[in-house]
Amino acid sequence: MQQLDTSVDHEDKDIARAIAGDVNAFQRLYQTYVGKVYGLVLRLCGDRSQADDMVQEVFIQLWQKLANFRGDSKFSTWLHAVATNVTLTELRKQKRWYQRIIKAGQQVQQEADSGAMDLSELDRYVMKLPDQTRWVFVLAALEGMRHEEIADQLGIAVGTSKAQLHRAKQLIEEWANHDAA
Amino acid sequence: MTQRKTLEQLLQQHQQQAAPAPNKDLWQGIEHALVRQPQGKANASSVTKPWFAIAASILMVAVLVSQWWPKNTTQQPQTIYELAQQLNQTQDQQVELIKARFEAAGYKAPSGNFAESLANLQQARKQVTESLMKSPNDRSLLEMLRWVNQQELKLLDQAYAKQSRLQQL
Repeated sequence: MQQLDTSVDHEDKDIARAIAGDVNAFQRLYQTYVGKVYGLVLRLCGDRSQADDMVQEVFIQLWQKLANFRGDSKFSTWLHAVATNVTLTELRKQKRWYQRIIKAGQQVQQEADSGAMDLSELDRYVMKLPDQTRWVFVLAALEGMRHEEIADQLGIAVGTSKAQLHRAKQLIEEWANHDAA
Repeated sequence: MTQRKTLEQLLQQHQQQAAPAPNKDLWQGIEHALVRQPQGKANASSVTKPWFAIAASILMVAVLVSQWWPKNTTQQPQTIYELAQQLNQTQDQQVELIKARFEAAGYKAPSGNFAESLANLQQARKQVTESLMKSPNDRSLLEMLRWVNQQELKLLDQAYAKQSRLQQL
């Protein structure tokens, strides 16, 4: 317990130092949280190379927003909210032109690529879900957000969020059963 | 025959498995961007002097370009295509100035994968601009052009940041 308290204490100091502009302190925060952020971002993106860029974008924006952290919530909770916001905003921005020009209107489902060896079976199915369905599933089933929060975050109705979660569960179970057969 | 799995079982397995990790070191790109865009309140004392000088030069160039940009457009663009042409002109200037600053500080021009990706982005810019010529008021194309241009600047930064890291080693 004492060790935990000490690490939290160190983290508080690093947050304060990073807010004051200390890049080394920010790097320590990055090292503590990059795994968690990467998992979240990868699942939201459904694409490894895009996730790398997005994680960098998250931490760059986090640096810019650090001064807004007031300590009302845990740092990890606040970081999670920032990461979700940044990722979804960027994804929606990119999706508009990407679909129009590169994919020329075709809905191409992301396949789990050959670099997916370290992904859990569930993650591999998550990667195959359509965008909005995947976002809802990740936020609701894996990140524990409420449908009201998800609806607000994605700009959709609460009913749509519930329907997308239901669809995601159905698709994942269908794929799992197909693979097991 | 493999046993059928429910979502609950998949979730349990998922929680037991180690989280996926990035394939490459992402910090160096982040660090470079932080140096280039310091926080509002942050002091840049931890930044090495050459980087600070380069970042300051880039910032100065950006300010000059942004001041020049709206004032110089005595002829307001009539179409989004015209606006895109102006954007491209500014982009070219920014790219050239960034390259010149870094190369004056002893860095080499990006090569290998970076050079290839930069060429791809320039090609994408050309294609989007051509599409805009056919649909001169298409806002989504303009948005795409802005995105491509941002990626080009970001990639250029990453290319020089990598050299900086190698030089430190």
